[in-house]
Amino acid sequence: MRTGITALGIVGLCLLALSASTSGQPHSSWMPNPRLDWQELNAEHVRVIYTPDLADAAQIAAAAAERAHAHWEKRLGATPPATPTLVLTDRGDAPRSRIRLVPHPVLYLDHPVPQSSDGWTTLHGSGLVAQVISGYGAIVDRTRVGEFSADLRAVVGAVAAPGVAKPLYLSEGLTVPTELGQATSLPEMVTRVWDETGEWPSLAELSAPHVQQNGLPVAPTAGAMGRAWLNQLAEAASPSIDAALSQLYAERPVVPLMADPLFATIGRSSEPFYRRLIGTASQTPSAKPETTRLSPSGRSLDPTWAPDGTALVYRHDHAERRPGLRLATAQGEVDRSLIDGRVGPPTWSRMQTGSAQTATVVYPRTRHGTDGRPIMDLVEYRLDSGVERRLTTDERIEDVVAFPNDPSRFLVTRSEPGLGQSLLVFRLIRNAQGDVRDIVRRVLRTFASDTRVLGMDVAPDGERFALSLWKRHDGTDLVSLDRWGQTMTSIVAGPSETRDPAFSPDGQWLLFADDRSDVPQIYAQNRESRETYQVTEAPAGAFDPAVSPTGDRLAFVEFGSGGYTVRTLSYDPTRWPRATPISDHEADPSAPALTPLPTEDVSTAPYRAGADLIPNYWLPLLVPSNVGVLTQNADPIRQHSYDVSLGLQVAPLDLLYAFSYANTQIYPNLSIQLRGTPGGSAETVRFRFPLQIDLESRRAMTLGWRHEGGDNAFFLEGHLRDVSGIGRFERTSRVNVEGALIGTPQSPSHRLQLRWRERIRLPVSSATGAHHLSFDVQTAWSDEDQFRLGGASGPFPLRGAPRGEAVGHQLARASLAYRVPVWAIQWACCGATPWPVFLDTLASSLFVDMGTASDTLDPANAKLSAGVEFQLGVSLGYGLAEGRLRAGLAYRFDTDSPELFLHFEPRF
Amino acid sequence: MSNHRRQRLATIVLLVGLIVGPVTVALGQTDSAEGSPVVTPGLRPVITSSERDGLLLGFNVDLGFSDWTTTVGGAYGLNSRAVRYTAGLQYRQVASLSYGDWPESDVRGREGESGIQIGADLIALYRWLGGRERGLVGQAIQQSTLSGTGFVGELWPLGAEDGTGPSVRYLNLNSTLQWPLPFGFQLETRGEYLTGQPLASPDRTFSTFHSRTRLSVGQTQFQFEMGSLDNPVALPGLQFDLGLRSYAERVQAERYVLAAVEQQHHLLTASLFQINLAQIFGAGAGSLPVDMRLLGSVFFEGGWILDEPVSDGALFGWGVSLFWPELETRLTVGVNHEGDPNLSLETGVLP
Repeated sequence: MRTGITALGIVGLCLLALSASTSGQPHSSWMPNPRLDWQELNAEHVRVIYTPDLADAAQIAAAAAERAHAHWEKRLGATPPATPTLVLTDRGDAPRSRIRLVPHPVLYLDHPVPQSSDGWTTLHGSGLVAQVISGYGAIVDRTRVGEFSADLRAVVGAVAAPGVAKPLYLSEGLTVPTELGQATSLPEMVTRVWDETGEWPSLAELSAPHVQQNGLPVAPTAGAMGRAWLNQLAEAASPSIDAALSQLYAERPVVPLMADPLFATIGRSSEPFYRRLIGTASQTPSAKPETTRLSPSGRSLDPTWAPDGTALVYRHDHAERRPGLRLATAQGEVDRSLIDGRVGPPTWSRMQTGSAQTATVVYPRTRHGTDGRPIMDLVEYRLDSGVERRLTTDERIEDVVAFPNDPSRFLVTRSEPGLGQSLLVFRLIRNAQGDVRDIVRRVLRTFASDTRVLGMDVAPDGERFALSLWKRHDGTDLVSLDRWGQTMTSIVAGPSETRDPAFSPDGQWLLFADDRSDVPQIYAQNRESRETYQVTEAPAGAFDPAVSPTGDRLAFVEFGSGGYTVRTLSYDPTRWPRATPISDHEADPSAPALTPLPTEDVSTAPYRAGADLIPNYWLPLLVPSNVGVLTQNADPIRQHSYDVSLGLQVAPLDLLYAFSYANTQIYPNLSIQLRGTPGGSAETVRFRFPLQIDLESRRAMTLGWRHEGGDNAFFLEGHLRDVSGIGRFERTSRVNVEGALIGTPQSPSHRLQLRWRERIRLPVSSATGAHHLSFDVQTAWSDEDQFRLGGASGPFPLRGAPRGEAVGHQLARASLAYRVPVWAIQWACCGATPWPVFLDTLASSLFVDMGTASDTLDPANAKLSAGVEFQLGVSLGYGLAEGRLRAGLAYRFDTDSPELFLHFEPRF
Repeated sequence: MSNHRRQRLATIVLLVGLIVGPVTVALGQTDSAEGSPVVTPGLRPVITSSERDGLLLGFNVDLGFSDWTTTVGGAYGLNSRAVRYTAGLQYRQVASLSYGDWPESDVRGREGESGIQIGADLIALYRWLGGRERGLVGQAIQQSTLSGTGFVGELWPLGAEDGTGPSVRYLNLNSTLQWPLPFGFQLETRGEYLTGQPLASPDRTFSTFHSRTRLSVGQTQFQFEMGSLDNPVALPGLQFDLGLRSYAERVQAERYVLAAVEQQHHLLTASLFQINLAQIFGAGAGSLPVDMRLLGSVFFEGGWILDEPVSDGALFGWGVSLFWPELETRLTVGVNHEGDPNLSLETGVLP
């Protein structure tokens, strides 16, 4: 097995070496803008790079990183191989983080102070400290030297690949969904420590008391992370714990310990929680109300009932699927996808069209503005026509709840950039066809950045609202607000976190989630007697209650081995036991406040990339006729990047070199490539003009000059990528055009190439993901050069035909494919070896290829083939090389024998 | 007209458009904003070219009085130094009558005509007569147009016609139909039928039929086009101009089918300048931003000429275009199936 993996690694590195001829790394949308005025702060164990507006955050981050260093050194017995760099930037409204390990350990934090407007004191509530501690821990963890690697390093020495022969626990690093760029989460790291040491980190070590956390106890990585965590747990937990958990797992198909509930409880009293957990595991399950599971595994949240109580809609997210809204019937017979895309909590409503009423679902939907910042529009989906209509634009709607007694009114929370949050009532004005003509907005309350509405509901008579209100230093409590927004009274207060209020249809009860007994459960308060009852007894947590309009079922979200699932149980207040009163939890007395580092321990200066660019690793370069070494490097914000390959050609013996350099600090971006080959040398200079880069569209133009084989070529390239449509039939269009003028101005030759690719997401999906239809059209023309058609790879592929099957001054080819994800393998191997391998999703596609090449194009001469192809996503060498392993069978219609092909397609 | 000359003309048109376009847009918007309920003037620039006059520059002015709208237009030919004119009267967009010597003609292959023209919007006429719009008929009417035009007069002469064009009368019927389809698809069909007679031999007729179907979804559009004509009177110049963007020479035919697919993307919007309307129209008029959009597209086109084989009868080409909608100008680099490249700059291209 290891031989095979090493071989794959060598293949990957060979391809990596070949990529030295490609340009510098593109400026990704999540990367910091290299042209800003960057500053740096140097402390003993960290360097923080930041923009001047984040100077306060940089101070906090440096202090947190020093604490993280001490903590992880103690807990994991390791320190980072080099001083980690934190890059603080503020590109969007959603906090994002990402780590990079090679060539330097870097933790990128985007929008690290999402709710702050007043500097230092606010930062505690922002999650910045937790992000720094967990991100720093991830760097320490993933660069630890395992036993095998330690031996290897002793043999090979620190010169050969010191930055590569280190990784452990590769799987989590690569299975974490990258759409939002999430780095390792704090609970994951907490779990790691418990896994390896059997101890819980203390609150003091983490500096993340729960009262300072502001997010819901959920994370998008719950499903994927939970599975990996369980596997580790089974291997590493002590026998007694393992036995207890095994028994629990056997008795109930849930394992009552996952990262996210830990996140909610770890800051308060981890060990009592743990003891309670084991105690629960040892007990024989008592008779509990039977629940019905409605949603698949993953992360299902915010169930909301249809007005007639026959169905409900909920948000769903899963590491292997796209997020969206799903619709389930009350008994669970049907559960299907309704809407794709990133959406907020939904609410059911209805609209009058003529004499008929039409059910609608209203929800916030996230899109990205031209500046890359997310905008949450309010959107209405009509169930009769399947039409989705945008109701608002350029507002940041966070939550919406329909008035039960008035289908035209909605209670809405809206984020006000730089100000805080508003609570409003929207009244929709419709025309005779039911289309919304206008919205009348009435602001009930505006909250400063130290207060946020995390959940809300409207009483059946529309006269009162229940709000889950987070206040800095006070945690989350329930309050009641009158319909005019004037009078606010407390419903549930105390040290516990109280969220997700929901009125019963008769208005007699207010249900909510509360973690007064460590594990969040659903409780109900009688509105007359003020008595509180416990509704659920979920082993790992219950959230988001919603009583059906018929008053006989309760939907809620339960956390378990499959992540967050929507369940229902019988709604019967007579069976609810009285709840235990809220008691003050024991505060951790050893949690010191985080203070800035002494000024003598830090130094600040304008950012300079110089020292970052010294090569710090060399990888072997092995191809059949060449041997050598290569290195790549870039500074943390990628102002400069380069790669160098040096080697020898075996026969005839000759020097081989390749060098490329890219500078994104200037505009247009500059890249230079130099290649020395036995047959001569080649130089390329490019000026790249990034015209637009955001999450939905990219535009760039490149002007360049290339000298090769005595010829000069001036070329102009255009690159374009657009994502259009929402939900089903989302289209990704990519167009690349290159025109070149080759030779002397007196007798130039010309070349024009065009490639147009479309990928359409179909409304068909299997458990591993959605199906896609894609086509790829390519044309090329030159009055001098000849183009070669054929092969499974290469610039002009035609599967089933050998490369060079047709040659000519003109070429046209097209490919149509139906792609189906088959298996989410997500298998990682050999974390302690120098060549870790990660296998991602296996997909298959049915394809039809067509193409022709000649001096005069004639469709009658087109070659046609069809077949099946399997594609496996592969990552090699610590994420240095990624690509797809493609294998398939192609049948050409003008020959008798089908042809097998195998090819690795790198993606750098 | 030679390609060289056409390109030179196009360049002049481009420059003139840069100056005239924004100003007329500004004037039009101001008028519209301050327009009275009785008189709603509309000013449109005329920038075109013809073989007879070279570059033609002028204006069209619409003046509305209650249910009636008068249209007066004038243009000056830079090469011919001739003034072209048109004047017409329209009632509620139902019917119109006009007379002029103007660089437009419904007859294929002709650049202009001189005579009297009467037109009717048949759907508007149906409404005016009290026709009801319910059910499928109503839906179809709301999404479609159907109009007819009759003309009697003289067509502008072509180069080979010695300064006098043929006197003809003709009837032209135009229809368009738009259907919104599920999943964002949009279907649009357009048909045109013209039949006419030379006044010199009224017992013989010529006719043309042209149809275009366009299916679009998002930025992509598929287009199918066919044309057929019957010319027993041997009317000079009566030909379809196929307008293939990948062919340098104009491809003409009497019977043909074409198909094309085009993918268009917005590339950038450049804010050129702001017109300070307050300086022109007084305080409160605000300012008018003048933006110029740049669209890019890739296209593939192919078809067959059915009457007169060109090469092997098949046409195929591809290319890329840059399009400035505000200037109605398109720059295209195309290659046809024989490997001949074509770089062209076109004006008067509508989005």
